[in-house]
Amino acid sequence: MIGDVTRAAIRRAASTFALGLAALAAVSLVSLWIGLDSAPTAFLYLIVITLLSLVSGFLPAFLLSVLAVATLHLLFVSPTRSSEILGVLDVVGLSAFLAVAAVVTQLVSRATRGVRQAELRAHLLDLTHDAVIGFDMDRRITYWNRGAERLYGWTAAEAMGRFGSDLLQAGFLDLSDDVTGSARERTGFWQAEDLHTTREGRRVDVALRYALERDESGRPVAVLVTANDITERKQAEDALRKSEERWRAVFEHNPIMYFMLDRVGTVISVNPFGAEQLCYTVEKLVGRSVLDLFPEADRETALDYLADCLAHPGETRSWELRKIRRNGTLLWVRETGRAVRTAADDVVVLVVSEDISQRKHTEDELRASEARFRILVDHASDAFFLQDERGIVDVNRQACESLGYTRDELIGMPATDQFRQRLSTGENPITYEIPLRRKDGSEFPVEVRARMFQAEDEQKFVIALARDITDRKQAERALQEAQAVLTHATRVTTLGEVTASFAHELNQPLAAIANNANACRALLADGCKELDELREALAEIVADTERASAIIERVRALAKRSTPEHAKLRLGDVVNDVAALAAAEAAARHVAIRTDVPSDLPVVLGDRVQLQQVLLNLVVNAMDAMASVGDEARRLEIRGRLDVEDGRTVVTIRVEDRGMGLQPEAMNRLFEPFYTTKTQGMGLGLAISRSIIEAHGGRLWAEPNQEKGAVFAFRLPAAQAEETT
Amino acid sequence: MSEAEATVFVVDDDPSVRRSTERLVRSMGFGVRAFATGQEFLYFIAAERVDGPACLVLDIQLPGLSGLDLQRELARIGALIPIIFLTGQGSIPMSVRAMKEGAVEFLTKPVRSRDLLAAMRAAIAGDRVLQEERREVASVRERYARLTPREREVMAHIVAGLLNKQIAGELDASERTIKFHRAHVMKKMQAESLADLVRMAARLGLEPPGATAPVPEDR
Repeated sequence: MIGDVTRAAIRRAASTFALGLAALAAVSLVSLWIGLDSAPTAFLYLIVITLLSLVSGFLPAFLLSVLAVATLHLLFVSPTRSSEILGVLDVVGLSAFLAVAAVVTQLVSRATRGVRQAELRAHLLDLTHDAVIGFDMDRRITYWNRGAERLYGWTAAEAMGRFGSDLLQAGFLDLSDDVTGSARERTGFWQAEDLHTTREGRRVDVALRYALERDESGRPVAVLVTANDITERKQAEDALRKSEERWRAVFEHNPIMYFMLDRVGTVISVNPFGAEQLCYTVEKLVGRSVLDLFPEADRETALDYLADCLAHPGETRSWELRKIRRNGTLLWVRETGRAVRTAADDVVVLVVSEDISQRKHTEDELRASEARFRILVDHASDAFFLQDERGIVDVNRQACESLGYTRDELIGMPATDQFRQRLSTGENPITYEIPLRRKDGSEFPVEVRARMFQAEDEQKFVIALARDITDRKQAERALQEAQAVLTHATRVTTLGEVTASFAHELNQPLAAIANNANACRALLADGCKELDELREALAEIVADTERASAIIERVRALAKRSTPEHAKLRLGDVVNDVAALAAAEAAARHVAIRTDVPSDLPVVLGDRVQLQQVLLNLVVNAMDAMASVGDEARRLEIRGRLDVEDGRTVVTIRVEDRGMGLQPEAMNRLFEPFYTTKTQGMGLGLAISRSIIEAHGGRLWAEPNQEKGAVFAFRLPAAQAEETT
Repeated sequence: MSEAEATVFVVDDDPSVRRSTERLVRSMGFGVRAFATGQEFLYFIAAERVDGPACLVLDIQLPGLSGLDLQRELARIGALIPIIFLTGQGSIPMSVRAMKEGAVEFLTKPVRSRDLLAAMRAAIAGDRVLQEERREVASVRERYARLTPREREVMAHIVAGLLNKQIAGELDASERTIKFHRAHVMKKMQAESLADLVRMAARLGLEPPGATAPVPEDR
């Protein structure tokens, strides 16, 4: 590299020297041509040498000077073209020339170098990133480098000659400042920071370095200012400062304890909060062993953790321990420790310690609460099932005991389809009855009450409570049984009221049969002379037998206990049955029963015997009601008709009497059990009748008859055409 | 004494009972007339004359006019016919009342044919006797009617057991006159003996002398 530079310099020197030679030759030829003598030629040579020295260094110019002397001697000093003869005068002249040439060359060379250096300096100032501004003592700008152009936006041409304070809107060169003044006086250098305004109006923080230039007499003549944009640095400094403040605040005031420990556990540093928490001051705590901060029992564990941290520097370890305050009270802490290598190539352990006494307390409370809750759930008399969509998640003890499974066996069992299906209806909570199967295969009925809920994590659960309702079911069955017995009993009672005349009714066909049979015997004894008579008698016997058995069957059907049926039936048939049953009694009581039931009434769904019971009860009541009125008035009418109620087709049966009628106060209590206006009877007939009708989806009511007496009526919904029996 | 001469009336609202009773009675050799209601029978008995002995087989429980009502009604119009009551459910008060009113028998349905036959025979026999007696009484009354008042006085004293002399004393007449009247009375009354006359007097319901002679009942 250096060789290259040298070669380039030599080459340039050689080329300029060649140029000088050419110029010297040209001048010599011109001088010879026009016949100039040595003196003017010497001047011309001197000019050439001076010019050459301007473009090249001293050496080529000097060499050319020597050549110029030689040329003068050979061509222009007499005798011409002779080199041997050299007069004293010539020698003096040539020497003077050479001296002049040397001096000129030297002067030119020095001057040229000075100019070059000045240019280079200026160029360097331009290259620097800093803004460099020069002022005279009038504060006018005399220099403005590229850096200044970049920083402020003003070009050098624009800035030169302006007052710096005007241009940059700043207190430039305020030399009155005492602090800078003394430094200025002493050294001629000083520094300042200021806020300058750029051409675009932007404010920039600048760091300024001033240099005062003085003349030989020490008078200040100019000021050179270097300006650096420190806006970003300022911001960074600001940010750093704030960050430091924050971190300091964090360290000192965060409600977390920070400890720095040395290798053996001595506290090197602690934050004020940490000290305060443990009832120490920072000063008192620093230098103590950290083991003093742990209760006796936990010290070994604490040491283990410290050793673990030291064994794995850079790795974080966490633990929960109890710490002891200076006053002896304990607190639970969660600590995170890490061994860190310091600059001094030592190891410290940084420990962050958080008071978790509250959390521990809450946890303990929670555990206790959970335990209590578990007791509550386990000792509940209902079986609890917690389920998610996959199946059983948890159960209580009662669930295990009632089903004969262990808890582990039950957990994970799939939820029943029925259960899921019911929950999918969206009804929440739901209650239903279902049989549960024990492990041994036996079943028992339960009432389940289930509620779906979402846990905090959005997962859906169902809590189901199952209550054993075996006893209730048995009670229900017993009640139904008792109800059936009671219904039957009242039926038989009602029947008894009409079958007082039942014997008479049955006696009729029996009497006829006996008569006919006896007649037959007599006819036979007579020698079978009247066969037609005999045949007729036998036919009548058959007919009366059937008649008798029909009567028996009618009563038997009503008297027997049977499970209620739910079959399609015509209420007209029921009316006819009852009219037949009551006929004898009605005759005995001189009551005329008239029925008026259209044959085209729609069928209803029901139990024939129960409906007969209801109607018979109403008929007997009606006859009782007419006991005290005259024979002529004892008319009882049973009417059937089609009605529409609430948009439904219904069949109404009315039992109308002309008896005493109903007292208003009796009207309200008629259907109450054990309410009766009769001297005999339990007062259950109407109550039972109403419950039967209501069980059939109908209703039973009483109202006054138009002129006299009362009407008892019931209404049943007509069976739908598509309903099957 | 053929049973065919006798007539049995049957009143029963139940057709098959009525028909079978009719048939049974006929098979026993009686003449039978059956009626569904008491009213029908009343009309019949009022309109028709019944010859020969008869009885009524009556269902006590009849719609409308009941058996007991019919019994009372028959008595009211003087139709003295023996009644055999049939009942499905015999109650003591009912039968007592029926018997008081003159019922001859009270049978419970279904009735045994032997009982019915016996009852009917008894009733008819009774009716026959009654009818004989009624005829006898009528004849005695006819003869008695032909006696003169003096003869009736004498007869009363005769049946009272007085001797002619005593009667003469009583009636302030001669013994001879009394003897004469006595012969007339015996002749007119066709009495064969004193005892016979006494029996006739009893039939006529004659009171001892001094009492007012009652008006005999008529059928």
